[in-house]
Amino acid sequence: MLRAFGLGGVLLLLTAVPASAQSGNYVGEATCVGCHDAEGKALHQTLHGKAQNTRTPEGAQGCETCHGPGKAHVDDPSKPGSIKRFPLLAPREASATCLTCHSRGNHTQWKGSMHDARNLSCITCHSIHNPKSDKAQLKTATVIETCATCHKTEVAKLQRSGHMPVREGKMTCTSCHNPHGTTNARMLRVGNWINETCVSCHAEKRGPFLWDHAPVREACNTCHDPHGSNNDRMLVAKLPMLCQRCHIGTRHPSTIYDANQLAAKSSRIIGRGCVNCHAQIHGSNSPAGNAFLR
Amino acid sequence: MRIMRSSIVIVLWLSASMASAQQPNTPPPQVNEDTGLSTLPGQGQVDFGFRGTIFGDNSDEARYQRFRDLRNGPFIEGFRWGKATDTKSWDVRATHVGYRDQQYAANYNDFGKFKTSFEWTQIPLFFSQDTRTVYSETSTGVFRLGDLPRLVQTGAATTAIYNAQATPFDLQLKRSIADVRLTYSATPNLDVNLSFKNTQKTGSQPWAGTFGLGNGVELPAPVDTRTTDVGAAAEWTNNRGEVRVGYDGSFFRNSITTIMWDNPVRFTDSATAGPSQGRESLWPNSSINSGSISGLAKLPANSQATAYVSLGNWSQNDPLLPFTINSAIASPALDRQTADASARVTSTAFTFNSRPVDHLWLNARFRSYDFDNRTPIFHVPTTVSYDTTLTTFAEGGTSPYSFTRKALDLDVSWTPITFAAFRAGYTRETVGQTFRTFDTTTENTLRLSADAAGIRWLTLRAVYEHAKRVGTGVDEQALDDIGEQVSLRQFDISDRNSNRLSAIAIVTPMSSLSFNATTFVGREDRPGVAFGLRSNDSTGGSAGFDFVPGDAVSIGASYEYERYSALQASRQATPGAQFDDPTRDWTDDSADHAHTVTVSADLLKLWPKTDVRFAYDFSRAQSTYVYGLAPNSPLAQVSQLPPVTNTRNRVSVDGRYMLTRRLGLGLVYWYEKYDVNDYSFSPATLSTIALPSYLALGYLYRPYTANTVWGRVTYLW
Repeated sequence: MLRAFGLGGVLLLLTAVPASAQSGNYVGEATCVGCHDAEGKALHQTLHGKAQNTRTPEGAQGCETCHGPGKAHVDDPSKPGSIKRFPLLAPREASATCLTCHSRGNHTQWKGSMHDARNLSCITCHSIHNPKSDKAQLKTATVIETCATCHKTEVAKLQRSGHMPVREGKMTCTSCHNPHGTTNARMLRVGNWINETCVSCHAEKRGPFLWDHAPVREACNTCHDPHGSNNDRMLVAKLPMLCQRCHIGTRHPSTIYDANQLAAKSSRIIGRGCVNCHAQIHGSNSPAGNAFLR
Repeated sequence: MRIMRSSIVIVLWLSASMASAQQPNTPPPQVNEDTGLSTLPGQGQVDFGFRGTIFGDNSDEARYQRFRDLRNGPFIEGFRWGKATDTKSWDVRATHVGYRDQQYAANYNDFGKFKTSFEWTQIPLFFSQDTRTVYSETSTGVFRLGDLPRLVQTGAATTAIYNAQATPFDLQLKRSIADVRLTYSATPNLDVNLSFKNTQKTGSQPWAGTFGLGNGVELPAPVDTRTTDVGAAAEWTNNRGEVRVGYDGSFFRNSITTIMWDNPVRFTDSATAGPSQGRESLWPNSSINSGSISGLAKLPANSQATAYVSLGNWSQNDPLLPFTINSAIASPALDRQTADASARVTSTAFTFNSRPVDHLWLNARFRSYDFDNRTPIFHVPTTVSYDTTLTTFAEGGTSPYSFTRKALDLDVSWTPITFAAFRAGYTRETVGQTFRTFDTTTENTLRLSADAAGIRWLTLRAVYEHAKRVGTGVDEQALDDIGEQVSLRQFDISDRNSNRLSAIAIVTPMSSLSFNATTFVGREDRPGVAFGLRSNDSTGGSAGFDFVPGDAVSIGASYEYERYSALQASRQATPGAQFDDPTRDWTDDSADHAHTVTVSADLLKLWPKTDVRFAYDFSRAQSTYVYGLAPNSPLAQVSQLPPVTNTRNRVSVDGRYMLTRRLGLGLVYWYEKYDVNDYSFSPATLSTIALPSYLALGYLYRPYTANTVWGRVTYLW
């Protein structure tokens, strides 16, 4: 019953808040392109300029859908504030215009997202009139270039020996992240927790297994750096040292694996280290898999 | 403090007022190494030609290719064809046609009514061309050694025979992904979205089998899996809000759920000396079904509220193998015949965001994620280790691990001038968990950030975070029960104090030139951790510039340095007196240093009809692990490990000359040199596959030098 009231309340809210009144000072696109011909032509090359889609600016008031009524600007183009000039707007003010339409799908969680919190706006990354990318109207040719403007460390890690196929062009930042904000941590695109993003491609590791390995179930990035690392399998440290951060017990987990052990070719330090035996480290479905050996 | 704050505001205001009508700088060079399709105008384009690679002596060709297929021969590198009108658009694309990394895509968009996309992509993973094995896969997932174990067991041969008789093979995986998406806009307010994705993974990967500490085996485990993801959602939106209802399903199917392999040193089963073969279960089939409902409401005073609730069920019910395949051991009875594993996953997210006045931004967000593992405990009073030994299992059964995360974020941002924002935020995250050392961990995080962006000649961003994580309900007895030191703290849940500062500055003195610099410092210490990870620090920074004097020339360069360090502690001991002897303590001080350089220059039509793109990438990372002993240590003197280094140099030059408006000739040259010194995977370490306690595959990390040349023809229409 309570839920029904809650849902009803939301729907009531959606329908009860009055829409903002529109001004009658529109001059029409033909007037705008009289001076801004290049911008008008560029717009028509993009999805924003397809009038058949009534959700687009072209399907509504044309240029003035975003820039606001143009009469004051036409009357006195030099008058400050006579029309919305996005580069001069405060970032959140610029985004507010875009969000009047882009409030569905990937953009639902923009407000309050990490990027919104850092005062980025839509036009920090996107260009309406002069996009460089094939998709998404980015200011740069590729997604990675856009992200690299700020996230230089993450992009540098893509060059490490242990890396995902990003530099080979098979993935990009937005394969995992939605920069517009999500319900997940770290703006991850899929699911609602880090692991749900990872297992959306690495489904075999999701289980649930008869024997779960707690830190694996908790978060993949406990052991892996998804942006890249100097280690095999993008591990945050080499094995066995990484495992020895949690397993010290007695006998082989507590042993120093130094150059003497390497010279003796101990199976705990050569090759894939601990996983040379504990193959099922992500979880085992064998009754005898308590130590992830079966 | 007040004067300082005022000064910052004044400086930023002055910065804003000095803004000129300059263009934003061009970001750093591309990372994507694929040459890809040109952005030359036209509705259609095809690139084809011939590619060849010359390798230096003894180069690791598999590591050069890794996620690509760069075999020599003719190729159709790219093809695209499309058309766009005011009402519709369509396009088809293909890249690397006929190769293992090929991709095909098609898009159709009836603007505002219907759009659909199809993509089929293959991603290879070439592990190694050095791998060798004596095992024969006699049937899927069954690896046999023929008569060799008998020879070894009877003393007629040593395990060295496996090195002599091993045959080489390529260790590779391939992922093939088909992805179809469809959006139908039923009304101006209502969208229906459907998606279907099928991922097939085939090939083999390194896998381990073991019969004990002195007898490990590395196998080329066969992989043949299929994951089918389906999604359906209806989304209704108007200018006051949004409501979405969705379903997502994911079904993982593995056609090889068991692997069996011969014991290299025995051909008969024994209850004391080991089995003749081993058996493991591989990835089980599993399913996820989840439904979600979400809504967004635009409220007065520039406010917005969102709500999201998702409920999912994860299930896995594969038949269980017996405890052992060793016929000499009476396999304990199974508690049940199938896994009967399931988890109920409930997620929520609620946000409220408001900008009641222009200068003030408020945000509150609550998220929860509950992984409720409903798998019944599988009772295991006795188990069989390595198919070798029947033993009592002290813990008595499985530990179906559950956890619940709840995070509350509160942020306030103040924008005293148009392009500058100052934010203060607080997060409280609690994680409740079962079967772990702590019942609950709570982390409180305070963050402060300053962002000045949008000013044409200057971007400044800085953020500082201080976090403190504390665990409660510690169960040291649980550690004692599994033979661990009770003062061990597992690093993913241990108490932790962390401080992190990062900053970025981009200065654009003129429209064609920009400079950028970043820095970060992170410190983590873990109070009360005697054993385990004690600290984890990071430091780094970057500097670079971009020079774009016009459409014809774009030049950029950047350098990045990173350092990560960690200190961990342990005690080398056997059960008994050694276990409590602090002189047996040791530490491992590890550090990663990385240097990354990128340089690029695009010269487009600088010379008539000619485009030239140049890029250089350098990456060098070094990891060191330095052991330390306690005073008066009875342990043997430590011999430190050599550093692990990976160095990669890459140069690419891509030139194209347009013979006519439609026809161009191109030449591409790649030079790539990779040097590696990784003691675990080096040819010196794995000089034979028959190691003293391990029968390996010979999966190595080796250097390579590659010179790849492409000649290609481009035709546009």
